[in-house]
Amino acid sequence: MEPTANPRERRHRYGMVIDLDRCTGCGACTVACSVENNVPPPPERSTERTGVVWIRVSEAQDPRPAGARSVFVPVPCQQCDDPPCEKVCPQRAVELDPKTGIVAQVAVRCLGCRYCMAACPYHARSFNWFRPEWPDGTAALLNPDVSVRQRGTVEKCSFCAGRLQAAKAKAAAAGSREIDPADYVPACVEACPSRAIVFGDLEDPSSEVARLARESESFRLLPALGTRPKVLYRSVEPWVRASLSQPEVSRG
Amino acid sequence: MDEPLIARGLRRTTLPRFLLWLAPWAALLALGAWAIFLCFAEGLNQTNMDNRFAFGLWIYLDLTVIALGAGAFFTGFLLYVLKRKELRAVVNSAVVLGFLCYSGAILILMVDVGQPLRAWFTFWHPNVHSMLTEVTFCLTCYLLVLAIEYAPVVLRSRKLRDLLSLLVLEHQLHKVMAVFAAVGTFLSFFHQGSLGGLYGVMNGHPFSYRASLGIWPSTFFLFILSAAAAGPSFVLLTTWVVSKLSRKELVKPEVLRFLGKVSGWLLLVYVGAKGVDSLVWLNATSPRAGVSPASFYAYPSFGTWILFLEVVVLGLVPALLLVSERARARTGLLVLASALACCGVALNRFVQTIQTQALPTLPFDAFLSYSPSWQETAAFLFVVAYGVLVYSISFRYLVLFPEERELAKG
Amino acid sequence: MPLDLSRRDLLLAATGAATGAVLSPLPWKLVDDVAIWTQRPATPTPRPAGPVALRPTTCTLCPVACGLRVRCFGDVPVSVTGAPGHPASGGAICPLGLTAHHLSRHPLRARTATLRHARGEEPLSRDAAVAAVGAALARAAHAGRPGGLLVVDGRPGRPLSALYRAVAAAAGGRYATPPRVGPARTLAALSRRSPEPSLTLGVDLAAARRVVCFGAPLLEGWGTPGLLPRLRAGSRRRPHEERLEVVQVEAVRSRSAALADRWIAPVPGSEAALALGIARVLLDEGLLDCRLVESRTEGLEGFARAAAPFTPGTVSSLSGVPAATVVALARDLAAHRPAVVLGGGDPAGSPLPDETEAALAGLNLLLGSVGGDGSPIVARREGPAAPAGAPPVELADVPDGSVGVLVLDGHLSERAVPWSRLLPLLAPSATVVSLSPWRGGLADHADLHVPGLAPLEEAGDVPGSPDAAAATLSRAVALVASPEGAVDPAVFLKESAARASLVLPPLPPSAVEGVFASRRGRVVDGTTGEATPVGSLASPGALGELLEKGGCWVDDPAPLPRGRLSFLAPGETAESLSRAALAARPAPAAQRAAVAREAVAAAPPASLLTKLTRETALRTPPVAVAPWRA
Repeated sequence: MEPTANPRERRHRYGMVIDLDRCTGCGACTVACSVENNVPPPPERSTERTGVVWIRVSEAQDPRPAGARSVFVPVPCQQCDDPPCEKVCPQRAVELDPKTGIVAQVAVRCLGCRYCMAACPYHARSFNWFRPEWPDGTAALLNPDVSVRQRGTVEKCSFCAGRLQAAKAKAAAAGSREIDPADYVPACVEACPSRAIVFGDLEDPSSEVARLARESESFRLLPALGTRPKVLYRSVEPWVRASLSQPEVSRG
Repeated sequence: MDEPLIARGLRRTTLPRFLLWLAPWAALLALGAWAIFLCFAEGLNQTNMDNRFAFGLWIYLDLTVIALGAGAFFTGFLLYVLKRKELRAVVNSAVVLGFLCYSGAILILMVDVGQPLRAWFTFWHPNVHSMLTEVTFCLTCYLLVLAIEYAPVVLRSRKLRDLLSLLVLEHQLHKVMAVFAAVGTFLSFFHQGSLGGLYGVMNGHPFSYRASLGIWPSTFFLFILSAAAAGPSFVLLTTWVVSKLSRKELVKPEVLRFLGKVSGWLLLVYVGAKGVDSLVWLNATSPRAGVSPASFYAYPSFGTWILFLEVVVLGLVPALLLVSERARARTGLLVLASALACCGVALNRFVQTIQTQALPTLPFDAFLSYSPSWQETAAFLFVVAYGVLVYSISFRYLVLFPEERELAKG
Repeated sequence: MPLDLSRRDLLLAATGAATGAVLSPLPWKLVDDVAIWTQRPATPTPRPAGPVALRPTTCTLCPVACGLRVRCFGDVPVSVTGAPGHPASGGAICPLGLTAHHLSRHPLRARTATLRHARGEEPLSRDAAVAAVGAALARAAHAGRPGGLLVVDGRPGRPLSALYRAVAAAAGGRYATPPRVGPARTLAALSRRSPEPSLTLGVDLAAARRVVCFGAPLLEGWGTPGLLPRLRAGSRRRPHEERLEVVQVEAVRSRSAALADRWIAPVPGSEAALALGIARVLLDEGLLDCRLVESRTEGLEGFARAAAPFTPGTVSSLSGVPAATVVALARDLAAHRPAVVLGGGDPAGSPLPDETEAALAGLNLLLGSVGGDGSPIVARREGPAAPAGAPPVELADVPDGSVGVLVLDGHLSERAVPWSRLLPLLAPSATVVSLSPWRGGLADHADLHVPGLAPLEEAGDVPGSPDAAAATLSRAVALVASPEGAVDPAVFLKESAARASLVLPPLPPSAVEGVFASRRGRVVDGTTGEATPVGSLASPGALGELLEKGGCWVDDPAPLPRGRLSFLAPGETAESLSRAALAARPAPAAQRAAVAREAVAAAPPASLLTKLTRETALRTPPVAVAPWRA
């Protein structure tokens, strides 16, 4: 056993920058995420508003009168530094890990009161309105590293915490305390065919994600709410930045 | 048939007629029970709530009945702490109403959560920063207090009185009732406030987010005030309705007028505070969150009329009516004003629950609509039927209005 | 000593014990146990046995043949990702590919051979299926041409295709390929303009600065998933003049139209007029590179004559596109060469008419985008499968009522070839054999349904997209066991042919042998991107081993085409072109049915894929599977 001389790990703030000029709304992120995190397929009566989706891609149209263009905006949990969901959960089923900055949903402790969903302005949370079921023997194909959730609980993007655990285990096996950043890449980042999502440690100033986050083309959704998301967006188009960093573009 | 059970000196209708009155409510109760069973067995997909409308009819119902049930604590407070003896005439009824409102709310809350078996986790792993934790703690404690306050009324019933030990218990309870009234008031202040805080702290929704006063958002205090104002009005209203339905004089008119007066002044203070709060919210809080306040009322279903209706028609108007002695003197106006006050509070809870979620937050969101499913409506009616049934039975066999006997003689 | 215990003592002891128990850890343990019980998930996640491995293979869902990495626990695949260094896909895969491992458990997966007749259907054993197909082949061989065999290949160029052609030749039948769709039609129209009959062309989008799509869903991922958005976003770092911009010409606001830098919406049917209008502006304003056009093309006068009626004003009245937009687009294309114009389809998802493709081909020639050094449209060599056996014919060339036995390939999608297109070809009492792994679609019209292999069950060499700039070859590895009743179509066909006593002509050498013999190209490792020249390999076996490990062979660039391309293909005249362009067809009112890839893939959507259509607002729902023919 290695002596635990310095148990203090380096602090991380994992985050992502999503390039809206690259996203084509193909939905690969949503599908890859569902495969990785054992998100159930849609039951018979499920709709856009009752499905469990950890990263939802929405279309945002150019609000200007002559605007015909759209951007597609993938919205995972924004992993806020000041998460509105965390402070409202009555039984600490939402936890912000100070070591990683990841907002975790402890599904087994969740009461299903949905207060966190009402509080989240990004609609990044899903409730299991239906009993999760994997038809036709696809239950055998579930990812063994991620446990499935029950009916009546809330779930959301965890930045693929299962992969972080795997990366940590790998690092520990190699005798290192720090993971190799290449080992920890969320499923959506890996799956995006147009490479729109850059993921990494915002705390590490040399990382690509930190560099992109500092650029003037990057912005946050609903910045004035003070939630301080760790998911940022970027676009070279001024209309995209202007309309998305402001709430309710449709209201002129 | 059941005369031996009816309190001495009270005249009640015949048992068959009473049962006939109960029958439709029992049927409604059975329908509601079926709906609740469906929700437990099949899951909350039986409702029309969804990920975007995470709160629906039930949460609205909880907030409203708890606000109306505030009559229990406020009447108790006036009677036992401020020693307004005339309220002894309605306090039993108020306590029963409070008990029904609170137990109904907790019942529906248990249907509303996805994992009711985990409800006690709130006590096991409480998050002290959550308004809902505060609500849960205070609600359960206060329900206990209400049960204790309800107990003497039951213990004084004709059959139970015969048991000496129970009578002694009742007497002892009665002596400490002031303590319970004080505890109840304290608890009520907190959970009424926390229910307001529930929305006031949601910084994700500029429509419901309010600036803080101390550690609580302003809605914390507004909810206490509005509940305290609506509570007496609701007691007044129910007393009047019961008296009309039973065709009996239950309390002296002065009692109702006093309730109206209390309600009116509190409502006036509330409307004033609400006005100040709205101005601060529209001019400072929401612009700071990057939202133009006009956008809150830019959608056809919820125009500025709703704000006007809430604050003026269902706030200022009943408040002015109730504080005016001349208006109070006319029973029709008194009852109308208290009904308006109750509707005003109900509308406030509706706006807080429904409009908050209907309004978009993200730039690419749409304005959403929601209408409850039959299961939700039936579960809602279950609580109403439960209230009517328990109140009816209490009214028949217990002394809810101590003055009734004298008034019947006189 | 007698113990004198009163009832009071007993009560006291009991009370004490109870109080003690409450203060002990026991109740807390109890409470915690209840907590754990209520926290138990309803479905425990199964942990499959077997070692974890990231196994390389190739996607067979569509012709692009993306490199895959499949995470397997033993023989249970749990997720699919792209091979990061794969030259054909660049590590990207589409949502269909991400759910490929679910497909062999799809409810529509056919698990046994089925014989359908008037009274219903009955399962067949493998032997019985071989006998039945063998009998059908023998009958077809006996009948000769009318009443003969037709094999329709859903994915030409595979090793299986060679077998299809051999069987067709042995039985005296035909081998047909489905009509090409999307940008491939523009490439085909250009090939027809070459003096070399066998010139094949591919698109290299990376070389272009302007991409004009006439209905092609390029930004939605036609071809390699995410390629064009990646190129476009990458070019944003370059100076403004060098950036890649996409112009979408499409009547409806498709996802590609919404994503394009510019969207031009002509009246449906007026695409040819718009293309000729652009050509006329280029000609009138002298925006051509005359030397280039002269050196590579011929017959410009004829094309100029065809374009002559299409002044910007005329185009505007025909297409509804403002004249200024037409002029501006022409100038923009001329100023930002290399520019490429690709056809795709009309709003109904059907191909553009031949005349429109001819106009687009002419526009490409005018812009100098074909066959030069650094052109977006390049010559490429045929894939590694050497042609042999029955020559491919187009379905349109098969006479009605001439088919006695129809064999449908498993990769043939009903969207690519609707049943209504095949039905008239059948002779009375024809036998239809489907090798589709799926029920539904064309397979439901088959008299004999012998299920083939689903994705991840298939093994063998997979050629890359015929539209790509260079031929590629990679290998699919069978990662999932196929159901008992499913067959490997190649093995099954050989057995059936033997049962019919057909003598197959010698099959061409395997693709790997062909590649090795050519000594061309290089094998790129799908993970690291390291390249190994084929010339440095010792044997075809070594090449096969590299492919097995997830490598992908990429052909060398082909030499520039010899001979000049003609503006008018044989059989076309300036008059026929302009006449067709002036007579704008009436608009098909239907919305574009689906995104291209879904139209090409024959597999039904996996249940997780339907999340996109049902639980997000991303896509229009895919067209439902055709019900069983009454």
